[in-house]
Amino acid sequence: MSRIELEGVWKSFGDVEVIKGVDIVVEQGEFAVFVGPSGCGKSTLLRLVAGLESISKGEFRLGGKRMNEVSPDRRGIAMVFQSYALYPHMTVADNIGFALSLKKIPKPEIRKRVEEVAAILRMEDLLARKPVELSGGQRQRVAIGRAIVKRPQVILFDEPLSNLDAMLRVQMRAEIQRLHQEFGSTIIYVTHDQVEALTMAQKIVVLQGGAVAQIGAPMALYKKPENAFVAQFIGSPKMNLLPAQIERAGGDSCVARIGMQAISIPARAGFASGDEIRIGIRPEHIRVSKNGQSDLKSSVALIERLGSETYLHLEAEHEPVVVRIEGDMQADVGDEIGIVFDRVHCHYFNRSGSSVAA
Amino acid sequence: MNCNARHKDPAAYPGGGRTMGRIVKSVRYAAVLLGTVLALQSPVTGAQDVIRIAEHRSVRLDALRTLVPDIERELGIEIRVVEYPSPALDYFTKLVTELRSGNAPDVFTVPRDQQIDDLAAAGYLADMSETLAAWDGYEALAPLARQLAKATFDRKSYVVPSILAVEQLYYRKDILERHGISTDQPADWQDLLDRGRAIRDKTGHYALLFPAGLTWGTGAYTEGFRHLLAGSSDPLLLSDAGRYRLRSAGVRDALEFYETLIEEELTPIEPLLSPEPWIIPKYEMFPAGELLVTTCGTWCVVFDWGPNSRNPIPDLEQRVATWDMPGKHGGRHVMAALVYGWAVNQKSRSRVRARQVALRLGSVDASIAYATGLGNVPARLDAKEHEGFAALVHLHDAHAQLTRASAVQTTVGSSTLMAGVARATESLLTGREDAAGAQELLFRYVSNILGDEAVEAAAR
Amino acid sequence: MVGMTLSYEARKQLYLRLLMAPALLLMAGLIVFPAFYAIALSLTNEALLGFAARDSSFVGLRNFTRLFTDPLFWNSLKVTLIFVIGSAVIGQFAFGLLSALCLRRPIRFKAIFNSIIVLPNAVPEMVVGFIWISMYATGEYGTLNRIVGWFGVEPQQWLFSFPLMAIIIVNTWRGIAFAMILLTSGLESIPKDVYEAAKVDGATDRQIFFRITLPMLMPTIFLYMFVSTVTTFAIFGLVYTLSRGGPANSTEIIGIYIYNQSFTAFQLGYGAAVAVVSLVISMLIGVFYVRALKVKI
Repeated sequence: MSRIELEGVWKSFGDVEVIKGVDIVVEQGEFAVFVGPSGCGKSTLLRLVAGLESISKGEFRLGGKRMNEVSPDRRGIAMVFQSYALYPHMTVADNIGFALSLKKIPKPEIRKRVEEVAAILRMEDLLARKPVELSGGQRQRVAIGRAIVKRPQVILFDEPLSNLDAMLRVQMRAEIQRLHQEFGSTIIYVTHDQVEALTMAQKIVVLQGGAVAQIGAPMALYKKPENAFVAQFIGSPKMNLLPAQIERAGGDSCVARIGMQAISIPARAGFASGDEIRIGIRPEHIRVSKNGQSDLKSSVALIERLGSETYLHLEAEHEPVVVRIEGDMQADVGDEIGIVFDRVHCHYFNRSGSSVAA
Repeated sequence: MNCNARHKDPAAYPGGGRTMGRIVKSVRYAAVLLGTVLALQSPVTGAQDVIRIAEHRSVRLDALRTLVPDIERELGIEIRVVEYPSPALDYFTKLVTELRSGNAPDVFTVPRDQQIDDLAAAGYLADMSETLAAWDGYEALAPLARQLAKATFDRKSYVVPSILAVEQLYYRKDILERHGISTDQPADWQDLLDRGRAIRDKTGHYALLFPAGLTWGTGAYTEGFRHLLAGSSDPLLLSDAGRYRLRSAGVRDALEFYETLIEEELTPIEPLLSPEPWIIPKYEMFPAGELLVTTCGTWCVVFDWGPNSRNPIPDLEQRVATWDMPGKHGGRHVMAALVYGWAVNQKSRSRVRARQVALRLGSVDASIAYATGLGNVPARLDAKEHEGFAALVHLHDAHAQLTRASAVQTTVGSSTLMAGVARATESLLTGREDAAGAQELLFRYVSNILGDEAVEAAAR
Repeated sequence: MVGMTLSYEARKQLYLRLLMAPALLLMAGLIVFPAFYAIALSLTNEALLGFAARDSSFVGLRNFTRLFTDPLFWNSLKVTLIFVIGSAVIGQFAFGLLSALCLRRPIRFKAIFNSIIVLPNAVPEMVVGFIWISMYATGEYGTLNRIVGWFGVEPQQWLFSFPLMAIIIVNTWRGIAFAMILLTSGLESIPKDVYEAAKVDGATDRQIFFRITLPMLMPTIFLYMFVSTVTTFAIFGLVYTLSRGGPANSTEIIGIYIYNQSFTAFQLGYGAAVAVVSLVISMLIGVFYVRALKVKI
């Protein structure tokens, strides 16, 4: 059983609280991604699961059993480190087979399993080399090989792709997902890159400042962020957040004032007149007005043309707004453009950052 | 670009020329500085002659400093006393290295007569034969002193004698009497050994100490071995050709005597194997009455057991008496050595003056001054007429014996001989060798270092 | 002075040479020249006393043949070998490694422990000798005898009964600091996550030490072995003060053998021959270690 449960987990280093009461469940066989900005505690959480740090308060269960005091080697867990942490004095084959040799498994058996893993990761010809002779991507694969040769129930990845170049990163992402499908281990994958999170995860845990900001499936987080932080963290380019003030609440719709301009928005139970809110809308949910009727008037500050799409960086009421246009578009810096919000896809966040109840 | 202009004016070179100029200037300054320093090193000429005397050990330095003003006045020179390290080996080593490099002082002492041959053969010592012959004090010297002042290989005199070390067997009269052991002069080695056995059996203490072992250094030879060799069946150490007769019966006798002492536990063994081996037997055991007979010299009553020593023996004159060293088959002898003879550096720049200083240091005043401080016997027989002699009660007896004192002649390579004796006796102490083996060890050691031509191969 | 313009490169080369010249001169004068002089000396019967001091003669390889047929020389080589292996290769290394490992953890009074370990090295050689003479003194008042007396052991003559062991202990005590410092820096250079990876792989502390730490420490260990072997080989004052090479030549390391030959016997040519042989041995040790280091990593 490899269901992971973290219940009320706190971690302090001396007086500094790094993890502040976290509750997370990762189901057996699930690919979970812990994502968040630097310093949010995601690596610490991973190390708590691995057993490399002790838990100050709270409980960690693996397969239903409490594992707070169990040493790392007894947890049935494998870990792939950010810096690979390969044993520099051993060959690739020895690196991969190290854990097996510790358990006194006979050498022929070890060799067989190492070669199996090498075949899976397509590095049979590297087995006799030493880590210093390998490229970054090759080392990464050795680190992964070292982890999977143990056939562990849980594999922990600590920002494994951050040291690779863009193309390799894409390749390795696919590899890791393939491995997950083949082996079905529970995976906790830590990254600061939300693209990796969105593409690889079955469940994303967004962390901020040592606490969970939101847990959910990738699209759930994308479409229904529970707070402004998650809203802006997930999705690239970031969701636009426009500060506004509710002028008139009540009825089916309200009026929100953004700077000098006002737009009408659907009524929400949580709206009260005078509230300061932020309206969130993603770049792809904003249209350029063609017929003169628009929600907001803005001027073009910058244009990014990518060929398949164009990003217009606008300024409206001194607030930056990014709009995504399909294909190419004729526009110049300084043009006055009216934009229209797709009301279905608008999000509203109150002053403390939470999403406003419907 | 005017190339000619460039060649003429080095200062016009960008960068390189200016720096080269600076380098040249600094080299010139350095050369001038060096020249000045070297010039200042050369000795000041003119005015007075300066004679440098090497001296070590505080008692000797004190004695010398009382003599220096008079000598300076009489000879009209300036004397500089150069202080050397106290331990004998350090003094000698430093002296020899300076003699070798040519900047040793003008006048210095040769600690032991054995070293005269080595120093003379190396050409360090000025020949003093004529100087001594013309000296009025020469006839006043004890004959043995005159003999030991000469090198064996050329019979030339190289030092001005000052004092002699006179050695005998010192014993605890009080303890022997208390246990009813005879205090008569032992007749021969057998008698001496029997006395030792009686001491061991009746008192349970150690009987005899003849220095031995590696850590005692030269003392194994000078204070032990040679006493035995001198009374052995074949006391000659040198052949007519001037080679060491190490396979002789005399050497064998001496080593067998050691062997007996060790086997029969008449001598303490453990202290002799530790660094500074003289401390326990001489400074602790003998005063405490746990060692009853030891070789020693006239200085022992001053330094080893006197009122100012580490472990004084009260009523010294009543408790400690001396025996002559018996011969193996009878006879008796008093061992003497010429210590601290005054030599002149062959390379001295003022040899004439240096010789005069050396002779002054052989005067009766000088001998008495040193004898008082060191506890050694003045080498001159007329010293007993000096007013200072009366106070040196502990030396009167020994001084009277000077005309019948004996010594063992050595030659070049004596330090190797003495090291060899130390090793040979060490092998006896540790039980590694018997007397025959120790003798072979001595022979091989000396012949290995000095070469086969320095030793007599046959056991004649 | 300089007739032509020097190119920038050539000027730079000249300055570099001038800058290095003093150091090179010093090295040539104080290291290279004496080595060659010693070799030349070893082929003569040069002495400080005796006839050979006045006019020494070339004797070819006689000093060397004497050397190689002298059982005392072979004894001193054997004693030196045991001494070096016992104190440098085993003693200092084992305790140095232990100290390095232990002192990496946070323990109270770490600074005091550090000082205790480093102080012996800060004391001059001869003083160390005298300290341990008092330690090893025979009789019931010798320090060590007093200590073992509390356990009911008879007073021993340490330097007489166990001479080689005694000096090995002294030299080990003296040199732990050097090993500790070198090994500490070697340990520091092992990245922490390698240890963590090993822990996750399931290695016990013992397995981590023997299969990760020690192999990764090999270059440092070799460097340490090289330096300490060569320096221990050359020790003189410490052992001379303690035992003068005795009893019965049992602690006569090669330095003392040379000293005895050169100064007790004042035979410079012979002493130089032994020194030359020592130099060759040291160089062989160096070559061996450099080769081994290249092979390792």
